[in-house]
Amino acid sequence: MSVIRFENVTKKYEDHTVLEDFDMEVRRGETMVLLGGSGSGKSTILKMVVGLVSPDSGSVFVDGEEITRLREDDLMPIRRKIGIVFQEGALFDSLTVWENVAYRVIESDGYTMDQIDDWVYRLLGFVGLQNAIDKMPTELSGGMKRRVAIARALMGSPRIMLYDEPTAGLDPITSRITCELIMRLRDLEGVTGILVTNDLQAVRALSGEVSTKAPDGTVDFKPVDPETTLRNTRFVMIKDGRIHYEGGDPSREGGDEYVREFLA
Amino acid sequence: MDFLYKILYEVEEYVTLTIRSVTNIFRRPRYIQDTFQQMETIGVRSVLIVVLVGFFTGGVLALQTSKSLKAFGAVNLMGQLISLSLIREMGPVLTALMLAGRAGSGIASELGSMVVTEQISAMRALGTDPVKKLVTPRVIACTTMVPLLTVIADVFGLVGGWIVSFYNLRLNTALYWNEAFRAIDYNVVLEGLMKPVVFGFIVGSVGCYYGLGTRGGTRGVGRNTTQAVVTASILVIVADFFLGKLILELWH
Repeated sequence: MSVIRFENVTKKYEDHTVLEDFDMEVRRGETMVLLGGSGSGKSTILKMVVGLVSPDSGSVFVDGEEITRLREDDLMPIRRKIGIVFQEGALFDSLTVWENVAYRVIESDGYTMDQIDDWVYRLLGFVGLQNAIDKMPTELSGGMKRRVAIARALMGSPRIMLYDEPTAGLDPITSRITCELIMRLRDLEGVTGILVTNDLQAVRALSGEVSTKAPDGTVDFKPVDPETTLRNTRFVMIKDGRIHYEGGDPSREGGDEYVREFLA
Repeated sequence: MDFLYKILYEVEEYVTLTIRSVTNIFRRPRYIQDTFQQMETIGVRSVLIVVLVGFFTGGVLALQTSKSLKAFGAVNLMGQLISLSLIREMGPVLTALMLAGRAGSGIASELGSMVVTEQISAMRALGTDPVKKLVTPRVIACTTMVPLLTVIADVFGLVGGWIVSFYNLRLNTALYWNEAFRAIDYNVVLEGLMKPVVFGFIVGSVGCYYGLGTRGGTRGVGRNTTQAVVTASILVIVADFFLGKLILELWH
């Protein structure tokens, strides 16, 4: 069953057509990796899923509900199901790490401070940043900001995660840690996701490894058989407002000249 | 024609934002703590500027008008002149212009920075309405703080006028203050408080409008901050004329 669906979506920014009669579907538990050149509409797709950008025509469905024509107030329940990690993290720079991560549940009633505190501590543990709990975003490195942004997006246990170039500009180690977090959410939590990236290392990690949890709770990342295609990961390349390639890891499965040139 | 459409579009956007900021007062969630925080930032931290502006405006009024009043043998009316000029006109306008420069620019640049760093998008994605969370508290803070700051400016303006009158013109202290208070009647107070409410609303809402409308990175933040100050200052002066006219028609 599809959790996210685009039907004949067209979006223009002034004279530039970003998406044209665009159709796309993300199934439950699946992570879709979106590839494409700058300005190809990858980030626009993510913003459409959370209702931050409206299509000029066509429809966007989230969890079976059409969100295209919903008012801002009516979008709020949909947005609670979704976590989004913005390109530069987009942390609130006047709030501490704790306040950033807790933001979503503080804004909604129904939780005690102890519950929120436990939750924040657990999420910061998940991204390995418990020591940074009282820091301000300006005191964090780029990679730490991205990880705090992932923790913030995970608050409220959303079943859909959207990542906008989460590894861009990061050093290889931090990039790897970020990929591992995404793989854990995909394989162990069954979270549906869309990942926008142009990072080949991230593409290879997501198509070539799976995370498993040992009985003692430790998480391992094991390479998959090169002949196997992961059923929960799909790669989509966008060009000229439409899907140009769809399938397994394009760096292994080939594709036409454009795909090869893009990945070179 | 494009220019006209652009202006009409901007007016429509501004009116929509201000209507939403006002109607949000009656809808939950209400950000009371944020509102008090803004009152502190916009109001309390502007007191010193307003004291200085009020004091020296009163002083310079006394200096400049003393010659004319002497020529007509009306130096005794100095208190009345300063009181009326400050409370009805100069206090509200100068305070609002100061706040347009200080608070209006602060609001526009803060919100503008949040737009270009995608913090506003993140806020929306996390289920918070930025108009409720950011605009309404700032508009309330400006609308309530400008009248209070105007009263402070008026009081210190009268003090400034008294000091100049006393040391330069050797005017009797009791006479100055008697005349000053005699000029203040119900209509003057009403005019002196009604104007800053409108001016405060203009400063807050224009600052938020330009802040949230920021496009084009850090350059856009600078551009929109300047535009917010210029537009708010012009609107304050235009509104002052029409309010003055309205009050004269209705009550005098």
